[in-house]
Amino acid sequence: MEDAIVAGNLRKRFKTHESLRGKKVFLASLRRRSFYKQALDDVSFSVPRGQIVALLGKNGSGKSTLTKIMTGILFPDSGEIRVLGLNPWKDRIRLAMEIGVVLGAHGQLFWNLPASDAFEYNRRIYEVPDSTYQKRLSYFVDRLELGDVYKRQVRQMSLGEQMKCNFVSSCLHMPKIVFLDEPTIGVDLPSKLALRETISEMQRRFGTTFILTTHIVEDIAIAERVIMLDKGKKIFDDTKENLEKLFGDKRYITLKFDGRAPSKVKMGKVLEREANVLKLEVPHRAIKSRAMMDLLDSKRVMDYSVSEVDLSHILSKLYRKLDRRDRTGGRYAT
Amino acid sequence: MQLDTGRYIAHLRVTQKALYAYKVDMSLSVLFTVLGFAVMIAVWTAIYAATGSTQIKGLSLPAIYAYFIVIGGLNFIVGTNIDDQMMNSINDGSIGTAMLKPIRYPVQLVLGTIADSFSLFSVPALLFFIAALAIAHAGLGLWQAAAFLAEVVMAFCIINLFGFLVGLAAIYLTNVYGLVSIVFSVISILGGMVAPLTFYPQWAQNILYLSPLPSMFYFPASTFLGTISTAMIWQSIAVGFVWILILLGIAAVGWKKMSIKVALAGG
Amino acid sequence: MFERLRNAIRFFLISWEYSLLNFVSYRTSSLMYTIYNTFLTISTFITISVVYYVSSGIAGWSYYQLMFLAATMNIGVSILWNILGAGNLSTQLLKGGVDPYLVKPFGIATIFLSAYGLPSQMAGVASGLVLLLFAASHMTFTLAGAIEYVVLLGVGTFAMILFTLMLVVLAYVLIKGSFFVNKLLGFGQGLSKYPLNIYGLAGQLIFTILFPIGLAYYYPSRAFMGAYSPLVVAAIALLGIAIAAVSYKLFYVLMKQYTSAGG
Repeated sequence: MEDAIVAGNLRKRFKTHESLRGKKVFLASLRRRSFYKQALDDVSFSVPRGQIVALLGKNGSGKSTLTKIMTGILFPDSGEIRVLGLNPWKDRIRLAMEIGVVLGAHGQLFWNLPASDAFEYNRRIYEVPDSTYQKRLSYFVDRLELGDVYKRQVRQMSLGEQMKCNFVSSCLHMPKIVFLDEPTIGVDLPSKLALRETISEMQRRFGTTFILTTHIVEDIAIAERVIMLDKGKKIFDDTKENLEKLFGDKRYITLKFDGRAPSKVKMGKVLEREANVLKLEVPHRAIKSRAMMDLLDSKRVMDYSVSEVDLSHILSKLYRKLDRRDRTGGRYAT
Repeated sequence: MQLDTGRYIAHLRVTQKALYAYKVDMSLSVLFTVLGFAVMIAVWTAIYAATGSTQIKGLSLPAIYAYFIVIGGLNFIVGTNIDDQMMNSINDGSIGTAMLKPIRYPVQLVLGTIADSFSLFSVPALLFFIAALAIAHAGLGLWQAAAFLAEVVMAFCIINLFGFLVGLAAIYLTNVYGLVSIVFSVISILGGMVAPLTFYPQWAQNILYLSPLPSMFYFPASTFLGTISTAMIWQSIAVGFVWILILLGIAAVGWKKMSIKVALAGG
Repeated sequence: MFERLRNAIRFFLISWEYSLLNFVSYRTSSLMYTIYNTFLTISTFITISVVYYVSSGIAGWSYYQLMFLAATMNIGVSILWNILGAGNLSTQLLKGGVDPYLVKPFGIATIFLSAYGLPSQMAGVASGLVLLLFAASHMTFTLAGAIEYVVLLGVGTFAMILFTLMLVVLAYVLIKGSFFVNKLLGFGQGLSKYPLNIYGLAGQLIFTILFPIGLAYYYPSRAFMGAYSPLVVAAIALLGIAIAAVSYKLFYVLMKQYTSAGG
C-alpha cells in the first residue's frame, strides 16, 4: 500500500514587510521594507499509513505551513506532495473526503449553537448514514468523556470542551489521515489526556494516520516518530527514542543525604541543591561506574533515585543550541 | 491637582499608529465615502434639471452641492465606533482589563474616537469644508465659524453619546450590531444626511427640530453655509445642549450600573 | 459536472440552514437585524418620497418607476449580501479563518458563497418585494416585460455575486485590506437607488462593465418598463454571464495567492 504522505523538496516562501523606524508616527509607517521569508526550504519525508507523527519546531519554523500544504489550503512554490496518492491542491475536493483537520486557532463549530448541530452539519456534508453516525458519535462521546457537553452552546464551553468537539467534528467521517495543528494549546489537562488516548486508540483500532503539529512536549508522548523543523528546514526525522538518545544520553540522579548535602561532587553536573538533597545530571554510562557505586554506597546517602532526562529538557537544550548557532552564524552539528 | 497627560497622549499615539497600519485600506474607504457624496451631487443635479427651476425650497443647486459636501466633511469627523469597541470588549471580556488601566474606560473610548476622527480625517474634512464654501460662493464670518465649531463639537458629543448608550446595551444584548444599524439609519434619514430637513413636510420639521437628530448633520451644515437664520442657530445650540445633558445623565447612570455588573461577573 | 453542481447546491442549502439557525439563536439581536434590513427599504421609500414631494423627480422617471428601480436594487443587493457577506469573508481571509472551510470537500467558490452569507438580509428581500409590488401595481407592464425582468435580475445578481467574490479576494491579494470592501459595496448600494443614465455615459459604462451593479438593478428595471427589444435583453444577459464567468476564473487564479495566517 502506498504511503499516506510523500513530500519531496518542498519549498514555500512568503512576502512580508517591516516598518522602518522613525520619529514621526505618520512618516515611519509610510516607510517599510519588503522581504521574503522562506517558510519551507527543501523539506522531504514520507509517512506510512497508520503512523502517528509529531511535527515539532519553534514558532515560525514552518510547521503550520507544512500542514496547510499537506491539506491543500496552501500550495508549495516547488517540490512534490502526495497525500493518499492525491495532489492536495489539485485534488482538494477528493482529498477532503479522506482527511480530517483540526486547526487549533480556528474552530469549525457554530458559536451560538450546540456542538451537536455542527456534528449533524458535518454528517450531512460528508453524507454519513445516520446509523453509522450514531455509532461513531457514541464512540467519541464515550472516549472523550463529552457526556452532555456537546448538547450545550459552544460559547458556553471551556476551551478544552471546544477542542474535543472540534476533534469529533473532524473525525465523524472516519478520515484516513487526521491533521491536528496545535490541538492542546490552552486546553486543560483532563481534556489533553482524553484527546491523546483517543488518538492512540484510533490509530490502533482503525489504522488512522495522525500528523500532530505541536510544541507541547507531552503531546509527543503518543507519537512514534518526530519530524522537527527549524527555519523551514527539516533538522530531525526519526523515532522519538532516537531523539532522546541523540540529545538525552544523560540520566538524572537524585540523592538524599544524612545531614547537609556536600558542596562538591566528583562526577556529573549539579542541577539542584536543597538542604540535604542533590540532583545531578550524569552521563548514562556513569551510572554503573565504580565512582557512582562508591557514592551510592556511602553511609551519608540515605536514599537515591535514577530517572531519564525528560523530553522537555532535551528540546530546550536543542533549541538553545539552535539559538547559539543563529547568534554565531555557525552550522548546527548534532 | 497635577494633570498627568503623558499616559493619555501615549494612548492617543498608539491608537493613531494602529489606524495608520492599514493606509491603503483606509484611503480607499475614504475614497468610496467621498464618491458616495459625489453620487448625491449627481442625483440632485438630475433633480434640479428635471424641475426646471434654479431653486428648490429656497436652495439653489450650488447650495445643495455645498450642503452635501459639508455633510461629507462632517461624516469624517463626527462618526463613532464606540458602540463597536464596547460590544467587542464586553463580549471578549477585555473590558475588565481596560477598566484596570489608569485611564477611565469612557475616556479611553473618547480618546480612541478623537484619534480616529480628528487626527486621521480632519484634513479631508477641512478640504471638504473649503470646497463647500467655494462652490456656494459663501463666506464664513467669525460668528458663523464659532457657531459652526460649537455645532460640530455638539454633534460629536451627541453621536458618541448615542454610540456609548448603544454600547451599554451590549451588556444585555451581547450583539448590538442590529441596534447600531437601526439607530444610525434613523440618524442618517432624520438627521439631514439624505436631504436638507427643509425639504421635509412642515409637521415633520417641527417634530425633528425638538429632537437631537438635526444637531448631528443638518444644523452644523446649514450653520456653515448660512442657510438658516441666527434665531434658528441659537435654538439649535440650546436644544443640542439640553440633549447633551440628558444623554450624559442617561450615560452616567447606565455606566454606573454596567460597571457594577461587569465587576460582579469577574470582568 | 452535474454531480459537482448537485453537491454545490446541497452544501449551499445545508450551510444556509445552519447559518440561519446560528443567526436566530440570538432572538433579540436577530430581530434588530431584521428590523434594520426592513428599515433600509423604508428609508428608500422616504428618500424617494421626499424627492418627489419637493420636485418633479428625475427626468423620464415617474415616482413609481423610481420606486420600482430602488426596490429592485434592494432585492438584488439583499440577495447578494444574503449569499456573500463580503466584509465578513474579507476579515476571515486576513485571519486565516477560512482554513477550516478550505478542507471541506467542495469547490472554494461554493464554500465561500455558502459559509459567509448574512441571513438577516432575507428581510431586505422580503421588504424589497413589498415595495416592488407597491410600485408595480401603479405601473403598466406586459408579461414579456415581467419575464425579461426576472431573467435579467437573476443573471445580473449572479454576475454581481461572483464579481464581489472576486473583488474580495483581489482586495486581499493586493492590499491585504477589508475595510474598503464594505464601503465600496455601500457606495454601490447608494448609487443604484437612481437611474444609471444620470451618471453620464462614463458612469453607465463603469457601472455596467467594470463594477457591474447596473446589471443587477437598472437593466432589469428598464426591461420591465419595456425599454428593450428581446435582442437587447439577450445581449445584456450574455454580458452578465460573461462577467460572471470571467469573475469566477479570476477568483480561482487569485486564490492561489492566499497565504493563510500564522506560521
